[in-house]
Amino acid sequence: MADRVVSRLKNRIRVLRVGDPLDKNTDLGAINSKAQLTTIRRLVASGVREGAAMFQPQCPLPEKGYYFPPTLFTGVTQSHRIAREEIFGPVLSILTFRTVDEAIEKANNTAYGLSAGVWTEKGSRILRMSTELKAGVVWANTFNRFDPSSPFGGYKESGFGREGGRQGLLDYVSLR
Amino acid sequence: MSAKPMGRLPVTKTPKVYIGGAFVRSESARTFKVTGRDGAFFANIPQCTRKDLRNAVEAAAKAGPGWARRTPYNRAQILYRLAEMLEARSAELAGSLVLFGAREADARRGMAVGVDRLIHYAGWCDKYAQLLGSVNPVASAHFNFTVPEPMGVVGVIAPDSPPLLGLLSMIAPVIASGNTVVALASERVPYPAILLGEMLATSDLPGGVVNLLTGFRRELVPTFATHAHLRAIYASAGPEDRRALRLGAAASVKRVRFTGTEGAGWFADSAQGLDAIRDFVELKTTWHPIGS
Repeated sequence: MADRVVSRLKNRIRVLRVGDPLDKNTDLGAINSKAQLTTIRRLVASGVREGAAMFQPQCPLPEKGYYFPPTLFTGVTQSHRIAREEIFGPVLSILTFRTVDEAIEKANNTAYGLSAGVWTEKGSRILRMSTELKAGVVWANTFNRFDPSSPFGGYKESGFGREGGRQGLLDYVSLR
Repeated sequence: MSAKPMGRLPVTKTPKVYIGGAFVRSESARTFKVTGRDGAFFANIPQCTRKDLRNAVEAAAKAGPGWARRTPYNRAQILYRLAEMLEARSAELAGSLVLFGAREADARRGMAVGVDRLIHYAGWCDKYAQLLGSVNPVASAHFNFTVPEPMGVVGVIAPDSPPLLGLLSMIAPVIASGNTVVALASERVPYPAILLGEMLATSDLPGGVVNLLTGFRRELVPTFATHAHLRAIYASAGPEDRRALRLGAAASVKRVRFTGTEGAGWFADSAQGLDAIRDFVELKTTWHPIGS
């Protein structure tokens, strides 16, 4: 299954358009600062150095501005820096698993816990995974969805409190 | 030599701290003396170190998943039974408070309030989730719901006054939701917490859910603040300790809460409730698809 997903992912990121963030046709905009671009480059270099396999499509990057091509790593282990640290860039580190328990353990083996995504056809498995995953938001068969009525915020080292929903409001009030 | 009748030798107790369901001395073998209200030597209390604190966090982390997986109903039963046991032994606990300067009437009332407080939080165990959680009306085809979950290991730093009621009032809301606790007892009056440990050991609370340390605040506060496996701190603390806890906790994004309750305030009903439970839960929101 992993091979099929990875090969289709590669096909998808081959056709991503990197460019002007204000252009509606752009899929991937610029990195927000030089410092952040340096961080991304450093972490990506560490991924290569530590033995993960990197894939970057041949795509034109604008000459001006802080851009980084969409990047995918396979053969990543839990001890790799690209699996442990927050990259904040268009970089995907892929770890594989054989069982649900292994997936849960790998997903939770981090100091962070902002969000998680689960893809499965089984409704009961969604609920099992969302019960066990230590993350503030669990998206099932979707990702990066937001709604003002849905609380958003992280576990562990991914921040304090929640934004949105009744729980988000509660932090601003004192009930009597 | 002729056999001469001798007076019975005094049998004094060696107080030990309660960590991971076992009674241990400090790994350092250090102790500090406590004296009773009459000024006479009472006992050598373990002066716990950073290492003891780390051991306690390890024990609490180990007990965490099992405790969190108990049904809310079961956690309620266990807290309720703990209250029953404390009620039966409240004279002994009140006596230990009087020994260190509490007024008889205050000690007795404190124990009654402490037992009632445990029952209060036992009642919350299977109710807080309905009040803190929600089903959220999102504008897409998703069943979107939010549930509270325990944070993990929580560090509790108890007040000096009232030493036992304060400690109980701070531990109960934290464990009610499935967290485990490493608590530092009052430095001035540590003995009641030693007794409490002996009662916890025979309660139905699994070992490691509540770990009680004795020792000096100034030695342990920095480790409470910076230990990365403590997910939150609940402290009764003065300005200096508050600053140290806030600064130390920042690196690991630890949740830090200070009690607004002091002294006689702990006896009031306002010292208990849903807010203290809410402070030590994480909220998890799940987006479950609707339709095929």
